[in-house]
Amino acid sequence: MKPLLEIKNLKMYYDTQAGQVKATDDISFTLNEGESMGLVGESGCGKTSVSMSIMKLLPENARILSGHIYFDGTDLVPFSEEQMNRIRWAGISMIFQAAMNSLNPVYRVGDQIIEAIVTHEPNVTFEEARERVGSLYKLVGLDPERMDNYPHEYSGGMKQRAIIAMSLACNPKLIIADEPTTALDVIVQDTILRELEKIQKKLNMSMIYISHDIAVIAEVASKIAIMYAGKIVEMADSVTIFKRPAHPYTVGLMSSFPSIRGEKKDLVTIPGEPPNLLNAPDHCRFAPRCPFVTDECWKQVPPYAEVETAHLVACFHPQNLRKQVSVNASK
Amino acid sequence: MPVNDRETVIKVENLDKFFPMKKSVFSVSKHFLHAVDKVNFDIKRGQVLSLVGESGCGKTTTGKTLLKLYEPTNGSITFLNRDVTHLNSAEDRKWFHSRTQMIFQDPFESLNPRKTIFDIVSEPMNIQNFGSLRKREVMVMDILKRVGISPPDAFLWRYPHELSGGQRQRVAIARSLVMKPEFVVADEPTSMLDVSIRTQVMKLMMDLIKEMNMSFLYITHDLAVARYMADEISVMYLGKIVEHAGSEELIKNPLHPYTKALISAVPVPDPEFRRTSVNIKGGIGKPIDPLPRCRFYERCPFAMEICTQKDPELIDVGNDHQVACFLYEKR
Amino acid sequence: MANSTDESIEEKLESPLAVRAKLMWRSFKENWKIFSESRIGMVGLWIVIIFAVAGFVVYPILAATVWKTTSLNAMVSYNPVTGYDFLQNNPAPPSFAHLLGTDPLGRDVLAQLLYSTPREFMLGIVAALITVLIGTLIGTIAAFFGGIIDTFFMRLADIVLLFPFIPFLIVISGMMQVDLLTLALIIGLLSGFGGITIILRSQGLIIKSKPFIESAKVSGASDAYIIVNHIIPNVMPLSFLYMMFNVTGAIFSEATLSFFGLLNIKMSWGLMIFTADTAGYIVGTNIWNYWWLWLPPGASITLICGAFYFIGRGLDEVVNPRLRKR
Repeated sequence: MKPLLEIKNLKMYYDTQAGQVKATDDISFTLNEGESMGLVGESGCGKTSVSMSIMKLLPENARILSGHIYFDGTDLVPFSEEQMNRIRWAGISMIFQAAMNSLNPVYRVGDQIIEAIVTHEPNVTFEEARERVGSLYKLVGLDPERMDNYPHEYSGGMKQRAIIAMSLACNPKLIIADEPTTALDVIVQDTILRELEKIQKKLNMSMIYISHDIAVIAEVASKIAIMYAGKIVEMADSVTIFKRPAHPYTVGLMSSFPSIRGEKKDLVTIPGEPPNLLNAPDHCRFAPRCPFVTDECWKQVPPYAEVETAHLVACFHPQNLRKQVSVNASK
Repeated sequence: MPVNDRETVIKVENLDKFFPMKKSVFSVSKHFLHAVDKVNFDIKRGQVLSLVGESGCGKTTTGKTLLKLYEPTNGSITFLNRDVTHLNSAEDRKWFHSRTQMIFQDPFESLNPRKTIFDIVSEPMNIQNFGSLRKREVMVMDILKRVGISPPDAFLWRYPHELSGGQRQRVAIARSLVMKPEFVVADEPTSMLDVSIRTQVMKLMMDLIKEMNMSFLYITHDLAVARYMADEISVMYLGKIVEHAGSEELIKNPLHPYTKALISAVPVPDPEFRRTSVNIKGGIGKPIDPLPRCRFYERCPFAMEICTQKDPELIDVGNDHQVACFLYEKR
Repeated sequence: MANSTDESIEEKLESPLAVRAKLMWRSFKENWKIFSESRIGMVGLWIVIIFAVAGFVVYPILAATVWKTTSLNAMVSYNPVTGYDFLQNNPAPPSFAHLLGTDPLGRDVLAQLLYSTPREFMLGIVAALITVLIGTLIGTIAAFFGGIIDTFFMRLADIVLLFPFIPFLIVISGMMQVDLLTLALIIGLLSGFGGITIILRSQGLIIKSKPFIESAKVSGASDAYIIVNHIIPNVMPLSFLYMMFNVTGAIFSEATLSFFGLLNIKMSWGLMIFTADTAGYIVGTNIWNYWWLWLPPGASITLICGAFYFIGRGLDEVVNPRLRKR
């Protein structure tokens, strides 16, 4: 089965006055139809940059230096703005961070979704679009009667659902959700996550979830990629990532979240601070904070390689592997 | 010393804070927002109490009212055996404010961008006219070192924008602890920090609480963090405390339907764990002129007739566990 | 052990005053770097510098040397107010003796221009300073205390904004003798309660809601402490910015009033145009034939007002970090 989305060696850099920021440095992953994937990392790790690159919603000072973004077999990197406009919303749609703030306050919510539909599918009439919005509302758990309200009349959870409805409006094959529930209370978050799961299964959509909250990702994604300083440092299915994390950063992350289940355990801290992506160094970027660091970690960038089936890690000293593997640096 | 034998540092009885809903400067308000309604708790020396709840539940307002950022509408606050409900003289105010402090949520906005780190951390001493300039410099360097800002003299004359989020929050903690207060309120101090920094800051606070034997009120929406940081947890809903118990007891044995919903809504960082579904409906309203009945009535799956007739009081169900719910009231 | 650490720390500490002086210098340099990148700001600054040098340095030198009345050239006086050139028909076009010609009363135009320059500066800056002082104080107090005080000052500002400024000044000048200093005071007082108060009050409101204010309150800060130590310093950059625009307004108002001959002053750019006008040299074709009577002062007014405005625009990027390019 051909993957729906295939990112190959994507490099996207920002040019700033202070220097070059390697936001996305040699990123590769694939996503199949109906699959849900999580991108986990802290602020500045590049996860939002990846999604912006896929949608090609980049600011002026950003450039895709090299790499490919194959969506349904076609490479999006050389696409013009006009060609991308046809892909956006209809092929790939996005739920932005703090999306509830991206609803225009002076237009009715329903009208904004209708606008999205009509812009991408000019053959659809106004009535047809309205009907579609109605069924979308039912799908996300909103009352269709409230289509004609203004955003300020909706609660936070309702706005988020409206945004999800908007992202589904043109039947995309892939949705990128960037921190879709971060600004919401935990009970509303639970409802939204369940809705998203239901919708995804029903429409057999692919999803990329971006979040810093590994607990949320554990619930929604079957495959997880951990990002650090612009690179993917580990990728595997979610059970492996949680039960046998290999990259020291992942190991640290797993033990640094307090949980309300099980026994109360001591939290492990990862010392130091997340790195500056300006003028990135030519060695492992996690070296300054890594408890397992050795000399070779400071000399070169560790190769991103498969250490077990379907488990990729970029580290000279991967942990917790079924059989101990030492990754040879001089490949 | 066992907790119950220690002295009570702060005691809150039937605390109310109502906000008038005024239409203009000249109108008389007819409606009141009951942000904090008959709240009772006490914190002993060296103890950490966590106020947990979703947005709009009144936890932040409670914390601010305790520290006199708001004047209580009714009720009493007793601090170190003195009634501090209304501080009438300048000496009373000085006495109170030199022994209490607050740590804020936003590391970017809680530091004045035009002041140096030295000015910021020494501000409590400056306001209280404490110590000579030399002495203040020494104490500031001391506390900066203690919170992990090292070497302190390199940071004394920097400005907030030169520091990272984690460093800024450490500076905010340093500021609040420089005069060695006896009671500190922390309002979601880690929710705006990166994940790997969050744990560092939480651990730092735990160490400092033990070292300085402080009484701490930790306000958060995250039950997992509350479990880690606090000895006791009070769950708030629409201005009222609906349940109170020791942290482990509350997590293992929740009684109030809202607490149960909160716990089951928290995502678990384990992909193989299936959560029980959260079975409450609806959203959070605003407690404006609330009727004398249970505020959770509309969303409660166990609602009964009596819940609309009276407002449930906190009753003791043994094991230092209190809950405000008619399900547990013995007839 | 504790003592030795204290001592070693004490050794490392520099005198706080020295440190603060260094910090101020450093932040000045940083702000200068941003300002200097704005072309429009630099243009404004250069114009101001040229005029300032001309008025404060060049003129006194000239007055004491080349233009000093001696027995040798007793027929020509370069005094801008009382001078007279007996050697030619006045007004005379520019010549070697009078680089910008003479006015209808025989006075050297260039001397008049340079003599007025420092006075215009003083007028503008004094008026602007008063405006900003009042605006900052009132705006901050209104923002901080809210309620009735806020409402009162805002409604007052609304009235001041709608007030017919120039007619009012005309009336005042009819009632009393208005010289430059009095004019500066009046303009300062009037504008101080107007638009600038509204802007600074908005900024004050933004600052007031920041957590660092709450932090100061939790430490027991009084209202006065918070206003002086937190709100005013954060409002000051904006005040400084608007001061530049106020200089423009003041100089222009003076020019207008002088043009109507309402001010009790000896010499100013506006007065130069007034003199030319009342003598009938700005009517019909005269306006082109006697250009040196109105063009130098007119251009000076425009240039200086524009220059301060440009500086204000350049300062905008310093004050508003969001406007800066990456």
